Amino acid sequence: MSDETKSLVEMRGVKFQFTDKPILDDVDFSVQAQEALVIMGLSGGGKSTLLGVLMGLLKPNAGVVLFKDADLTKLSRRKLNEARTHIGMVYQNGALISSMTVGENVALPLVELSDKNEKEIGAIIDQKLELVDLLDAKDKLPSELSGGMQKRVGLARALALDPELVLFDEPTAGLDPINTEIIDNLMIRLRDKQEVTSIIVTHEMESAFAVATRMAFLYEGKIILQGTPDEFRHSDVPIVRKFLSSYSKHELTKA
Amino acid sequence: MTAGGEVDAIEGMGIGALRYLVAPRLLAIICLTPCLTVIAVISGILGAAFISSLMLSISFGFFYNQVMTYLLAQDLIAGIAKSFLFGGIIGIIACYKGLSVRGGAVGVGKATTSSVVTAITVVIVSDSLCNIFIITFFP
Repeated sequence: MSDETKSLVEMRGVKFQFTDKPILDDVDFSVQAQEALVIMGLSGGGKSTLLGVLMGLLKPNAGVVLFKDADLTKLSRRKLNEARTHIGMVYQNGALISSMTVGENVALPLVELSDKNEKEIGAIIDQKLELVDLLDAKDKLPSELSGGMQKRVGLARALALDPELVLFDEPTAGLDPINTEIIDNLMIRLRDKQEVTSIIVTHEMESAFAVATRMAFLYEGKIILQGTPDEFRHSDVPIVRKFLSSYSKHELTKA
Repeated sequence: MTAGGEVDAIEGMGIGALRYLVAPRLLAIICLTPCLTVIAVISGILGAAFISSLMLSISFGFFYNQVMTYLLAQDLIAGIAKSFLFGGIIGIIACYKGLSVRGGAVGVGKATTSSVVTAITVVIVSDSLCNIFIITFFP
């Protein structure tokens, strides 16, 4: 079997632009099952747009976005919604429904999209909240939680339907080192224990190198480098070197 | 919800904002606007009776007889029938403006104002068109 047929997600020649200046310009990459691909890049470089295109929230001007061999850009609304149930997304700001409690937020996709009864849903909510260590916060409103806790609830909600692919949009941005470590450990646990495929958009180097099995660098709308974390550490692409120089020299020279 | 990314989250989960957010709101306003219309019509008539009695010395009995003589069932039916349409118009405009909000809290305020102004304008225009239609075909 070729590599291509084993890809869970693939983007080919994706172009996206709001104005004259393209945000994504001929983006090509693929992600195999159970990989954790970290996409790095400068702020405002189109990383979140790339996730929007992957979720089918933004329609690219050109190119194909394949998820399990189905082109998301060409699916009917019904089929696209069906495909989305296999993809979980953790949003930068949590994007929790502010009028619902934490438990209700996690239950939302289960209530709306599954035929599980109340008892089964209750058990899944408890299991997912326990995974992110927030079972105590089940009856709280999102406004009563810290930013880190909201992101963890967002992750619990993204995992509610046991998706094959989880997309993370800046999961550790703006968090303190302790909360960052908690989220990093959750992503590592998902990768190793739950065998979930992840695409993580971040510019937090600590997180990136802790979680990634593979990395990609998005610059001026193009993926200019793809490879293993080690290949990134030893890359001689100037912008990548400059970007990584923010990361501790000790970590960079580590084999 | 749009400004907070909640609509994107609902879309992204595969629930669909149209089904989960728009459809119930539209259904609710289409069903409730006629109820409000009935309340408004009754309040209007009672208010008119009260003012007529207070300021014009018209007795409630005389007022009642005049209302029963000149208020046609056709007027009431047309008014309530139009209110279903107005409910739909208000709902569609409000949902459209809400889902296309840009620019955070300021954007939400602007969208709310724009929604109210647009809805009032469209309701007045469509009311006029409905009245022309009713007068032409049901004189």
